[in-house]
Amino acid sequence: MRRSRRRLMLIVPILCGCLWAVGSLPARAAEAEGEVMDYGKVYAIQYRAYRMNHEFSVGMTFLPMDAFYKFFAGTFHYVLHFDDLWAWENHFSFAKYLDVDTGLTKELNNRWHVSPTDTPKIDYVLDTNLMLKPLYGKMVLFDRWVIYSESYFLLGLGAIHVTSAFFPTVDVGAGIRVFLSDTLSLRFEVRDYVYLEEKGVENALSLGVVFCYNGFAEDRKVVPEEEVESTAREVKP
Amino acid sequence: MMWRLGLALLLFALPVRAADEPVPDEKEEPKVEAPPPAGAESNKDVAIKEEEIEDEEAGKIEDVKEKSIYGPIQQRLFDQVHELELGWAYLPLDPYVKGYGVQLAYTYHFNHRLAWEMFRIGWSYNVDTKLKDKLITQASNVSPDEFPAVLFWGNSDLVLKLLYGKQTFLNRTVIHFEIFAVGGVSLVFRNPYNIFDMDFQNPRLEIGLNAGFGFRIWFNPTWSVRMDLRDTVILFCFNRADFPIKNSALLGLTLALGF
Repeated sequence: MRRSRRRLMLIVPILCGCLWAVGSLPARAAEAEGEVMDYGKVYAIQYRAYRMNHEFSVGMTFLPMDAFYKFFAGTFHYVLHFDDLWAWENHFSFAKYLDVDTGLTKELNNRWHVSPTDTPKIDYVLDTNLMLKPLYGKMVLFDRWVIYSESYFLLGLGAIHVTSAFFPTVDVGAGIRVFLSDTLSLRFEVRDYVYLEEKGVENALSLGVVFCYNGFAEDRKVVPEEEVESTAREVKP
Repeated sequence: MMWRLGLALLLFALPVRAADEPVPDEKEEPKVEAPPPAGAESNKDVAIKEEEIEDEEAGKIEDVKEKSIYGPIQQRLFDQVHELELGWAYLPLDPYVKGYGVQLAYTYHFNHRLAWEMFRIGWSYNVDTKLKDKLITQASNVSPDEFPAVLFWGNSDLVLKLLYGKQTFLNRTVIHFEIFAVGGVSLVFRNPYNIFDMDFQNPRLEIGLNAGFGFRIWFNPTWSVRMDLRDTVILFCFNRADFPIKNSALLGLTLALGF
Protein backbone atom coordinates (compact mmCIF):
# COMPACT_ATOMS: atom_id res chain seq x y z
CA MET A 1 0.00 0.00 0.00
CA ARG A 2 2.78 2.41 0.96
CA ARG A 3 4.71 1.51 -2.14
CA SER A 4 1.76 2.32 -4.35
CA ARG A 5 1.42 5.69 -2.62
CA ARG A 6 5.10 6.44 -3.18
CA ARG A 7 4.68 5.49 -6.82
CA LEU A 8 1.76 7.87 -7.00
CA MET A 9 3.93 10.64 -5.58
CA LEU A 10 6.46 9.93 -8.33
CA ILE A 11 3.92 9.71 -11.11
CA VAL A 12 2.32 13.07 -10.30
CA PRO A 13 5.46 15.12 -11.09
CA ILE A 14 6.06 13.17 -14.28
CA LEU A 15 2.48 13.85 -15.37
CA CYS A 16 2.95 17.55 -14.59
CA GLY A 17 6.08 17.59 -16.73
CA CYS A 18 4.21 16.02 -19.63
CA LEU A 19 1.39 18.54 -19.19
CA TRP A 20 3.87 21.37 -19.38
CA ALA A 21 5.51 19.96 -22.50
CA VAL A 22 2.17 19.53 -24.23
CA GLY A 23 0.95 22.93 -23.09
CA SER A 24 3.96 24.72 -24.48
CA LEU A 25 3.27 23.39 -27.97
CA PRO A 26 0.51 25.90 -28.86
CA ALA A 27 2.71 28.77 -27.69
CA ARG A 28 5.50 27.58 -29.95
CA ALA A 29 3.09 27.22 -32.85
CA ALA A 30 1.87 30.74 -32.24
CA GLU A 31 5.45 31.90 -32.25
CA ALA A 32 5.96 30.36 -35.63
CA GLU A 33 2.93 32.22 -36.95
CA GLY A 34 4.24 35.46 -35.47
CA GLU A 35 1.14 35.98 -33.35
CA VAL A 36 2.34 36.14 -29.81
CA MET A 37 6.04 36.20 -29.31
CA ASP A 38 7.18 39.72 -28.93
CA TYR A 39 9.79 38.52 -26.49
CA GLY A 40 11.93 36.93 -29.17
CA LYS A 41 13.80 40.13 -29.88
CA VAL A 42 17.47 40.74 -29.40
CA TYR A 43 18.33 42.47 -26.17
CA ALA A 44 21.41 44.27 -25.01
CA ILE A 45 22.37 43.73 -21.39
CA GLN A 46 22.79 46.94 -19.47
CA TYR A 47 25.94 47.35 -17.44
CA ARG A 48 25.70 46.81 -13.67
CA ALA A 49 24.85 49.93 -11.74
CA TYR A 50 26.14 48.51 -8.45
CA ARG A 51 29.10 46.30 -7.72
CA MET A 52 30.19 44.82 -4.43
CA ASN A 53 33.71 44.72 -3.02
CA HIS A 54 34.30 44.07 0.70
CA GLU A 55 30.96 43.41 2.32
CA PHE A 56 30.42 43.75 6.07
CA SER A 57 26.96 42.86 7.23
CA VAL A 58 24.75 42.15 10.20
CA GLY A 59 21.38 40.52 10.20
CA MET A 60 18.68 38.56 11.88
CA THR A 61 17.54 35.05 11.05
CA PHE A 62 14.63 32.91 12.07
CA LEU A 63 14.84 29.12 12.37
CA PRO A 64 11.26 27.82 12.33
CA MET A 65 11.61 24.08 11.90
CA ASP A 66 12.29 22.85 15.41
CA ALA A 67 9.19 21.50 17.12
CA PHE A 68 10.12 22.61 20.61
CA TYR A 69 11.81 25.94 20.00
CA LYS A 70 11.75 28.64 17.37
CA PHE A 71 15.13 30.27 17.20
CA PHE A 72 16.08 33.80 16.36
CA ALA A 73 19.71 34.54 15.68
CA GLY A 74 21.91 37.53 15.19
CA THR A 75 24.21 37.08 12.20
CA PHE A 76 27.51 38.60 11.19
CA HIS A 77 29.00 38.26 7.74
CA TYR A 78 32.11 39.24 5.86
CA VAL A 79 31.97 38.66 2.13
CA LEU A 80 34.89 39.16 -0.20
CA HIS A 81 33.55 39.71 -3.72
CA PHE A 82 36.13 38.52 -6.23
CA ASP A 83 34.12 39.72 -9.21
CA ASP A 84 30.54 40.06 -10.37
CA LEU A 85 30.03 36.30 -10.31
CA TRP A 86 31.99 34.83 -7.40
CA ALA A 87 32.38 35.73 -3.76
CA TRP A 88 33.51 34.12 -0.54
CA GLU A 89 31.43 34.51 2.59
CA ASN A 90 32.35 33.99 6.23
CA HIS A 91 29.36 33.81 8.48
CA PHE A 92 28.68 33.58 12.19
CA SER A 93 25.20 33.11 13.57
CA PHE A 94 24.45 33.41 17.26
CA ALA A 95 21.18 31.92 18.49
CA LYS A 96 21.85 31.23 22.14
CA TYR A 97 19.36 32.93 24.50
CA LEU A 98 17.22 33.95 21.52
CA ASP A 99 14.96 30.90 21.41
CA VAL A 100 11.21 30.95 21.88
CA ASP A 101 9.47 27.98 23.48
CA THR A 102 6.63 26.72 21.27
CA GLY A 103 4.76 25.29 24.26
CA LEU A 104 5.02 21.74 23.02
CA THR A 105 6.81 20.54 26.15
CA LYS A 106 4.02 21.95 28.28
CA GLU A 107 1.37 20.44 26.00
CA LEU A 108 2.97 16.99 26.22
CA ASN A 109 3.11 17.27 29.96
CA ASN A 110 -0.44 18.55 30.37
CA ARG A 111 -2.13 16.16 27.98
CA TRP A 112 -0.22 12.93 28.46
CA HIS A 113 2.09 13.55 31.43
CA VAL A 114 5.08 13.06 29.23
CA SER A 115 8.29 15.02 29.69
CA PRO A 116 10.65 15.04 26.75
CA THR A 117 14.24 14.76 27.84
CA ASP A 118 16.04 15.31 24.60
CA THR A 119 15.30 18.76 23.22
CA PRO A 120 18.60 20.11 21.91
CA LYS A 121 19.02 23.82 21.29
CA ILE A 122 21.10 25.47 18.60
CA ASP A 123 23.59 27.87 20.13
CA TYR A 124 25.63 29.16 17.25
CA VAL A 125 26.80 28.35 13.74
CA LEU A 126 30.09 29.19 12.13
CA ASP A 127 30.43 28.57 8.41
CA THR A 128 32.27 29.59 5.29
CA ASN A 129 30.55 29.66 1.92
CA LEU A 130 31.17 30.04 -1.73
CA MET A 131 28.74 32.57 -3.15
CA LEU A 132 27.66 32.38 -6.77
CA LYS A 133 25.88 35.44 -8.16
CA PRO A 134 24.62 34.51 -11.60
CA LEU A 135 21.61 36.83 -11.66
CA TYR A 136 21.59 40.60 -11.66
CA GLY A 137 18.76 42.85 -12.65
CA LYS A 138 16.24 45.44 -11.77
CA MET A 139 12.65 45.38 -10.73
CA VAL A 140 9.92 47.91 -10.48
CA LEU A 141 7.89 48.47 -7.32
CA PHE A 142 4.26 49.34 -8.08
CA ASP A 143 5.27 50.46 -11.61
CA ARG A 144 6.89 53.48 -10.00
CA TRP A 145 10.25 52.85 -8.30
CA VAL A 146 13.14 51.02 -9.87
CA ILE A 147 15.09 48.71 -7.57
CA TYR A 148 18.34 47.00 -8.54
CA SER A 149 18.77 43.48 -7.31
CA GLU A 150 21.03 40.47 -7.43
CA SER A 151 20.27 36.83 -6.73
CA TYR A 152 22.83 34.50 -5.29
CA PHE A 153 23.38 30.93 -4.20
CA LEU A 154 25.47 29.64 -1.32
CA LEU A 155 27.29 26.42 -0.69
CA GLY A 156 29.50 25.95 2.31
CA LEU A 157 30.92 24.05 5.24
CA GLY A 158 30.95 24.84 8.89
CA ALA A 159 30.28 23.80 12.44
CA ILE A 160 27.11 24.04 14.45
CA HIS A 161 27.07 24.13 18.22
CA VAL A 162 24.06 22.32 19.61
CA THR A 163 23.59 22.37 23.41
CA SER A 164 27.07 21.23 24.40
CA ALA A 165 28.87 19.94 21.34
CA PHE A 166 30.02 20.97 17.89
CA PHE A 167 28.85 19.07 14.84
CA PRO A 168 30.07 19.42 11.27
CA THR A 169 27.56 20.94 8.91
CA VAL A 170 27.03 21.48 5.21
CA ASP A 171 24.81 24.32 4.15
CA VAL A 172 23.10 25.46 1.00
CA GLY A 173 21.22 28.68 0.48
CA ALA A 174 19.79 31.22 -1.87
CA GLY A 175 18.92 34.85 -1.59
CA ILE A 176 18.23 38.13 -3.20
CA ARG A 177 20.13 41.35 -2.62
CA VAL A 178 18.36 44.68 -3.01
CA PHE A 179 20.68 47.62 -3.58
CA LEU A 180 19.83 50.77 -1.65
CA SER A 181 22.89 52.74 -2.73
CA ASP A 182 26.51 52.18 -3.79
CA THR A 183 27.42 51.17 -0.27
CA LEU A 184 24.21 49.89 1.32
CA SER A 185 22.12 46.89 0.44
CA LEU A 186 19.65 44.45 1.97
CA ARG A 187 19.75 40.70 1.59
CA PHE A 188 16.81 38.33 2.00
CA GLU A 189 17.95 34.76 2.15
CA VAL A 190 17.13 31.21 3.05
CA ARG A 191 19.70 28.64 4.18
CA ASP A 192 19.50 25.05 5.18
CA TYR A 193 22.08 23.47 7.46
CA VAL A 194 22.42 19.72 7.36
CA TYR A 195 24.43 18.36 10.25
CA LEU A 196 25.33 15.00 11.63
CA GLU A 197 24.25 14.69 15.23
CA GLU A 198 24.50 11.82 17.69
CA LYS A 199 20.95 10.72 16.80
CA GLY A 200 21.48 11.01 13.08
CA VAL A 201 21.18 13.57 10.33
CA GLU A 202 19.34 16.74 11.30
CA ASN A 203 18.61 19.89 9.43
CA ALA A 204 17.94 23.49 10.34
CA LEU A 205 16.29 25.89 7.94
CA SER A 206 16.86 29.60 8.44
CA LEU A 207 15.18 32.64 6.95
CA GLY A 208 17.21 35.81 7.18
CA VAL A 209 17.33 39.53 6.58
CA VAL A 210 20.80 41.03 6.36
CA PHE A 211 21.85 44.66 6.31
CA CYS A 212 25.03 45.09 4.28
CA TYR A 213 27.71 47.71 3.97
CA ASN A 214 29.87 47.65 0.86
CA GLY A 215 33.35 48.66 1.94
CA PHE A 216 35.78 50.22 -0.54
CA ALA A 217 32.99 50.46 -3.08
CA GLU A 218 34.81 53.19 -4.98
CA ASP A 219 37.53 50.70 -5.94
CA ARG A 220 35.05 48.91 -8.13
CA LYS A 221 33.58 51.83 -9.97
CA VAL A 222 30.97 51.33 -12.63
CA VAL A 223 32.44 51.38 -16.12
CA PRO A 224 31.66 54.63 -17.97
CA GLU A 225 28.92 54.70 -20.56
CA GLU A 226 31.25 54.51 -23.54
CA GLU A 227 32.34 51.10 -22.38
CA VAL A 228 28.78 50.01 -21.83
CA GLU A 229 28.14 49.92 -25.54
CA SER A 230 31.27 47.97 -26.20
CA THR A 231 30.41 45.40 -23.57
CA ALA A 232 26.79 44.98 -24.67
CA ARG A 233 26.13 41.76 -26.44
CA GLU A 234 23.26 40.08 -28.14
CA VAL A 235 21.32 37.72 -25.96
CA LYS A 236 18.21 35.67 -25.98
CA PRO A 237 15.47 36.85 -23.65
CA MET B 1 51.87 67.16 -56.50
CA MET B 2 48.64 65.54 -55.39
CA TRP B 3 46.84 68.82 -54.96
CA ARG B 4 47.75 69.81 -58.50
CA LEU B 5 46.33 66.59 -59.83
CA GLY B 6 43.15 67.17 -57.79
CA LEU B 7 42.78 70.69 -59.14
CA ALA B 8 43.20 69.45 -62.72
CA LEU B 9 40.54 66.81 -62.18
CA LEU B 10 38.18 69.40 -60.71
CA LEU B 11 38.64 71.73 -63.69
CA PHE B 12 38.14 68.82 -66.02
CA ALA B 13 34.98 67.76 -64.25
CA LEU B 14 33.31 71.18 -64.31
CA PRO B 15 32.53 71.32 -68.07
CA VAL B 16 31.20 67.79 -67.94
CA ARG B 17 28.89 68.69 -65.15
CA ALA B 18 27.77 71.82 -67.04
CA ALA B 19 27.11 69.73 -70.12
CA ASP B 20 24.94 67.37 -68.12
CA GLU B 21 22.70 70.13 -66.91
CA PRO B 22 19.92 71.49 -69.18
CA VAL B 23 20.97 74.56 -71.12
CA PRO B 24 19.45 77.62 -69.49
CA ASP B 25 17.60 80.24 -71.42
CA GLU B 26 20.05 82.90 -72.52
CA LYS B 27 17.69 85.70 -71.41
CA GLU B 28 17.38 84.41 -67.97
CA GLU B 29 20.00 84.97 -65.41
CA PRO B 30 21.37 81.68 -64.29
CA LYS B 31 20.19 80.95 -60.79
CA VAL B 32 22.86 80.16 -58.38
CA GLU B 33 21.68 77.99 -55.56
CA ALA B 34 23.71 76.35 -52.89
CA PRO B 35 23.52 72.64 -53.47
CA PRO B 36 21.59 70.88 -50.74
CA PRO B 37 23.74 68.81 -48.51
CA ALA B 38 23.92 65.21 -49.50
CA GLY B 39 21.21 63.11 -47.92
CA ALA B 40 19.27 66.08 -46.58
CA GLU B 41 15.96 64.66 -47.71
CA SER B 42 16.60 61.31 -46.14
CA ASN B 43 17.64 62.94 -42.87
CA LYS B 44 14.37 64.82 -42.81
CA ASP B 45 12.46 61.59 -43.37
CA VAL B 46 14.35 59.92 -40.58
CA ALA B 47 13.64 62.85 -38.27
CA ILE B 48 9.91 62.64 -39.06
CA LYS B 49 9.91 58.91 -38.47
CA GLU B 50 11.72 59.36 -35.18
CA GLU B 51 9.13 61.92 -34.12
CA GLU B 52 6.37 59.48 -35.03
CA ILE B 53 8.04 56.73 -33.03
CA GLU B 54 8.47 59.06 -30.09
CA ASP B 55 4.79 59.98 -30.28
CA GLU B 56 3.84 56.31 -30.30
CA GLU B 57 6.10 55.61 -27.34
CA ALA B 58 4.66 58.60 -25.51
CA GLY B 59 1.21 57.15 -26.08
CA LYS B 60 2.33 53.83 -24.69
CA ILE B 61 3.88 55.50 -21.68
CA GLU B 62 0.63 57.30 -20.99
CA ASP B 63 -0.97 53.87 -20.75
CA VAL B 64 1.09 53.33 -17.65
CA LYS B 65 -0.97 55.56 -15.46
CA GLU B 66 1.53 56.07 -12.72
CA LYS B 67 4.64 57.89 -13.80
CA SER B 68 7.92 57.04 -12.21
CA ILE B 69 10.58 59.39 -10.94
CA TYR B 70 12.98 57.36 -13.07
CA GLY B 71 11.15 58.25 -16.28
CA PRO B 72 9.19 55.80 -18.36
CA ILE B 73 8.97 52.31 -16.97
CA GLN B 74 9.16 49.56 -19.54
CA GLN B 75 5.93 47.75 -20.26
CA ARG B 76 5.61 44.34 -18.65
CA LEU B 77 6.55 41.67 -21.10
CA PHE B 78 4.64 38.91 -19.32
CA ASP B 79 1.23 39.45 -17.90
CA GLN B 80 -1.94 37.43 -17.56
CA VAL B 81 -5.63 37.66 -16.81
CA HIS B 82 -6.51 34.09 -15.88
CA GLU B 83 -4.12 31.82 -14.12
CA LEU B 84 -4.44 28.15 -13.37
CA GLU B 85 -1.95 26.41 -11.10
CA LEU B 86 -1.07 22.88 -10.23
CA GLY B 87 1.73 21.81 -7.96
CA TRP B 88 3.14 20.49 -4.74
CA ALA B 89 2.74 21.64 -1.19
CA TYR B 90 4.69 20.95 1.96
CA LEU B 91 3.28 21.57 5.43
CA PRO B 92 6.26 21.45 7.81
CA LEU B 93 5.16 23.04 11.07
CA ASP B 94 3.02 20.41 12.75
CA PRO B 95 5.22 18.67 15.33
CA TYR B 96 3.35 15.39 14.95
CA VAL B 97 3.06 15.08 11.18
CA LYS B 98 4.66 16.49 8.05
CA GLY B 99 2.31 17.04 5.15
CA TYR B 100 3.17 16.40 1.51
CA GLY B 101 0.41 17.49 -0.79
CA VAL B 102 -0.86 18.66 -4.12
CA GLN B 103 -2.73 21.86 -4.78
CA LEU B 104 -4.80 23.47 -7.50
CA ALA B 105 -5.59 27.17 -7.79
CA TYR B 106 -7.29 29.67 -10.04
CA THR B 107 -6.46 33.39 -9.97
CA TYR B 108 -8.10 36.26 -11.77
CA HIS B 109 -5.75 39.18 -12.39
CA PHE B 110 -7.46 42.58 -12.35
CA ASN B 111 -4.37 44.54 -13.36
CA HIS B 112 -0.62 44.71 -12.81
CA ARG B 113 -1.01 45.20 -9.09
CA LEU B 114 -4.02 43.31 -7.89
CA ALA B 115 -5.41 39.85 -8.39
CA TRP B 116 -7.92 37.62 -6.71
CA GLU B 117 -6.95 34.05 -6.04
CA MET B 118 -10.50 32.77 -6.16
CA PHE B 119 -9.63 29.37 -4.81
CA ARG B 120 -6.67 27.31 -3.82
CA ILE B 121 -7.57 23.81 -2.84
CA GLY B 122 -5.18 21.18 -1.67
CA TRP B 123 -4.83 17.76 -0.23
CA SER B 124 -2.07 16.61 2.05
CA TYR B 125 -0.69 13.16 2.68
CA ASN B 126 0.56 13.23 6.25
CA VAL B 127 3.58 11.34 7.47
CA ASP B 128 4.02 10.80 11.20
CA THR B 129 7.07 12.29 12.89
CA LYS B 130 9.30 10.42 15.31
CA LEU B 131 7.69 12.32 18.16
CA LYS B 132 4.22 11.01 17.32
CA ASP B 133 5.51 7.47 16.85
CA LYS B 134 7.26 7.60 20.21
CA LEU B 135 4.20 8.98 21.96
CA ILE B 136 1.92 6.30 20.57
CA THR B 137 4.27 3.41 21.16
CA GLN B 138 5.74 4.44 24.51
CA ALA B 139 2.90 6.22 26.29
CA SER B 140 -0.05 4.04 27.09
CA ASN B 141 -2.62 6.81 27.37
CA VAL B 142 -2.00 8.32 23.94
CA SER B 143 -4.41 7.58 21.12
CA PRO B 144 -3.78 8.28 17.41
CA ASP B 145 -7.16 10.03 17.37
CA GLU B 146 -5.63 12.92 19.27
CA PHE B 147 -3.49 14.25 16.44
CA PRO B 148 -5.68 15.99 13.90
CA ALA B 149 -3.62 17.19 10.95
CA VAL B 150 -4.48 19.23 7.87
CA LEU B 151 -5.94 16.96 5.24
CA PHE B 152 -7.67 19.40 2.90
CA TRP B 153 -7.57 23.15 2.63
CA GLY B 154 -9.22 25.84 0.59
CA ASN B 155 -8.11 29.45 0.45
CA SER B 156 -9.44 32.57 -1.15
CA ASP B 157 -6.94 35.42 -1.20
CA LEU B 158 -6.20 38.83 -2.53
CA VAL B 159 -2.87 39.01 -4.32
CA LEU B 160 -0.85 42.21 -4.25
CA LYS B 161 1.79 42.10 -6.95
CA LEU B 162 4.47 44.28 -5.47
CA LEU B 163 7.48 43.82 -7.68
CA TYR B 164 8.05 42.94 -11.30
CA GLY B 165 11.53 42.72 -12.67
CA LYS B 166 14.09 41.08 -14.84
CA GLN B 167 17.49 39.68 -14.13
CA THR B 168 20.25 38.59 -16.43
CA PHE B 169 21.54 35.09 -16.00
CA LEU B 170 25.33 35.20 -16.49
CA ASN B 171 24.85 38.31 -18.62
CA ARG B 172 23.33 36.15 -21.34
CA THR B 173 19.71 35.33 -20.72
CA VAL B 174 17.02 37.62 -19.36
CA ILE B 175 14.68 36.11 -16.76
CA HIS B 176 11.44 37.88 -15.86
CA PHE B 177 10.04 37.49 -12.37
CA GLU B 178 7.47 38.83 -9.97
CA ILE B 179 7.21 39.05 -6.18
CA PHE B 180 3.80 39.21 -4.56
CA ALA B 181 2.04 39.14 -1.23
CA VAL B 182 -1.20 37.30 -0.47
CA GLY B 183 -3.78 37.46 2.25
CA GLY B 184 -7.23 36.01 2.78
CA VAL B 185 -9.41 33.41 4.43
CA SER B 186 -8.89 29.67 4.72
CA LEU B 187 -11.10 26.69 5.26
CA VAL B 188 -9.23 23.76 6.72
CA PHE B 189 -10.32 20.18 7.17
CA ARG B 190 -8.24 18.40 9.78
CA ASN B 191 -8.38 14.70 10.53
CA PRO B 192 -6.15 12.37 12.55
CA TYR B 193 -5.93 9.87 9.69
CA ASN B 194 -5.02 10.07 6.05
CA ILE B 195 -7.69 9.86 3.40
CA PHE B 196 -6.65 6.30 2.43
CA ASP B 197 -7.41 5.12 5.95
CA MET B 198 -11.05 6.15 5.45
CA ASP B 199 -11.48 7.01 9.10
CA PHE B 200 -13.41 10.24 9.62
CA GLN B 201 -14.57 9.72 13.20
CA ASN B 202 -12.85 12.83 14.59
CA PRO B 203 -12.81 15.44 11.85
CA ARG B 204 -12.45 19.17 12.36
CA LEU B 205 -13.78 21.73 9.91
CA GLU B 206 -12.11 25.03 10.69
CA ILE B 207 -11.77 28.54 9.45
CA GLY B 208 -8.77 30.85 9.64
CA LEU B 209 -6.80 33.65 8.11
CA ASN B 210 -3.79 33.22 5.92
CA ALA B 211 -1.04 35.51 4.68
CA GLY B 212 2.22 35.07 2.86
CA PHE B 213 4.30 35.96 -0.11
CA GLY B 214 5.56 34.35 -3.26
CA PHE B 215 7.86 34.50 -6.19
CA ARG B 216 7.20 33.75 -9.84
CA ILE B 217 9.58 33.13 -12.74
CA TRP B 218 8.25 33.17 -16.27
CA PHE B 219 9.35 30.64 -18.87
CA ASN B 220 7.25 32.21 -21.59
CA PRO B 221 4.01 34.24 -21.75
CA THR B 222 1.96 31.14 -21.00
CA TRP B 223 3.93 29.21 -18.41
CA SER B 224 5.54 30.25 -15.19
CA VAL B 225 6.66 28.60 -11.98
CA ARG B 226 5.64 29.89 -8.57
CA MET B 227 7.02 29.46 -5.11
CA ASP B 228 4.72 30.34 -2.25
CA LEU B 229 5.24 30.61 1.48
CA ARG B 230 2.13 31.23 3.52
CA ASP B 231 0.94 30.79 7.01
CA THR B 232 -2.58 30.05 8.16
CA VAL B 233 -3.81 30.83 11.64
CA ILE B 234 -6.75 28.56 12.37
CA LEU B 235 -9.26 30.49 14.44
CA PHE B 236 -12.51 28.60 14.81
CA CYS B 237 -13.77 25.05 14.51
CA PHE B 238 -17.31 24.78 13.14
CA ASN B 239 -18.21 21.27 14.21
CA ARG B 240 -16.64 21.52 17.68
CA ALA B 241 -17.40 25.20 18.27
CA ASP B 242 -14.00 25.89 19.79
CA PHE B 243 -11.12 28.26 19.10
CA PRO B 244 -8.00 26.16 18.58
CA ILE B 245 -5.65 29.00 17.43
CA LYS B 246 -3.30 26.72 15.51
CA ASN B 247 -0.62 27.66 13.07
CA SER B 248 -0.11 25.91 9.75
CA ALA B 249 2.57 26.97 7.29
CA LEU B 250 2.64 25.92 3.67
CA LEU B 251 5.49 25.89 1.21
CA GLY B 252 4.28 25.59 -2.36
CA LEU B 253 5.87 24.99 -5.71
CA THR B 254 3.45 25.19 -8.58
CA LEU B 255 3.37 25.35 -12.32
CA ALA B 256 1.12 28.13 -13.54
CA LEU B 257 -0.69 28.41 -16.85
CA GLY B 258 -1.59 31.99 -17.74
CA PHE B 259 -4.02 33.02 -20.45
